[in-house]
Amino acid sequence: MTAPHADQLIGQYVTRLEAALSSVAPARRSELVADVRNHIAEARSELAGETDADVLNILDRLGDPAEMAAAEMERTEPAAPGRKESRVLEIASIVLLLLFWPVGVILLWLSKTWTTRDKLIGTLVPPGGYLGALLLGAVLAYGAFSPMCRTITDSAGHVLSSSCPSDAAQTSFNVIAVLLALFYLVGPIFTTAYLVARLKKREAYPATPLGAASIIGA
Amino acid sequence: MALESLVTQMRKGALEYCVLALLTQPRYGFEIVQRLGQIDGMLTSEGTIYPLLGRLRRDGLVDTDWRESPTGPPRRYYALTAEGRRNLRAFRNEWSTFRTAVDAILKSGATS
Repeated sequence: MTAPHADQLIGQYVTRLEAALSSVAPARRSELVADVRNHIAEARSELAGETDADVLNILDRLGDPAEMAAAEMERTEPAAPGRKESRVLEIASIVLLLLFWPVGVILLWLSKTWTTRDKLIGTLVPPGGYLGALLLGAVLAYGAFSPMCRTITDSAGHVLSSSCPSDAAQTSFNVIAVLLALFYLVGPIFTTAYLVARLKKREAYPATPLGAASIIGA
Repeated sequence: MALESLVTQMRKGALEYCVLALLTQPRYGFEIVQRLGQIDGMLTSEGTIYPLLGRLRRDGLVDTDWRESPTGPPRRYYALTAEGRRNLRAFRNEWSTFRTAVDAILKSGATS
């Protein structure tokens, strides 16, 4: 049996909870609201014949939404200073991505600071870093300077057939070459800035667990 | 008043490790609340357990997964990670040293 005003009472409580959690990130807020709704559903399922008083009792035991919000804010405070981790691996990785890409990439994937998305961007924008740029440059130069026209002549020197790539093909080759060159020039600058920004963000909000000693030592 | 705030702080600090201790086997949120509710004074507002569980997960001390419930909506289960197990072990040691030390001093103060 359902209490006459169960939906109304629970709705009011959830509205107050959502308001109290207004400064929490939306995804996390809806997760907490879902946790509370599940909690209420579990508590109600244990009652044989529920009354409004039973529902009010469940909500009362959950406590003031403001208290829950306070607990959530306190739990997301940045960790105390003095627990800063060393960033040697990350800095070496960023520098080597520019100077010697293969080693830089290995360090990048060894680091636990960046997410997989960060690592993919670090690896693929651009692939090979400046080392890749050198290789690509060599290929492009070969393409640009090698003879574009094939001419077949007979033993007497008469031209039998001649084929040159069309102007359109030549132009699109040039456009692709310029775009690739730009990508390889700008890519590493973007990637370096991006990885440094992500590193700084992680330093501001590190996920360091509270040490066992800190509650006793405090 | 200072004593009241000390007790609040101690309870708050210990609660985190009591939750870790309960999670040596997988449990869902409401089950954790019920377990803690059996011990008087451990959990004053049941709702505050959810921010705590969220932080334990963010810190990598517990893992979560969804499982079907025989009665209602699916349940989010929490269980210790290797890191959580390490933290719990460290707390057990610290706690028993601390408790023994305080007990010894309280007792010696009473008899001399």
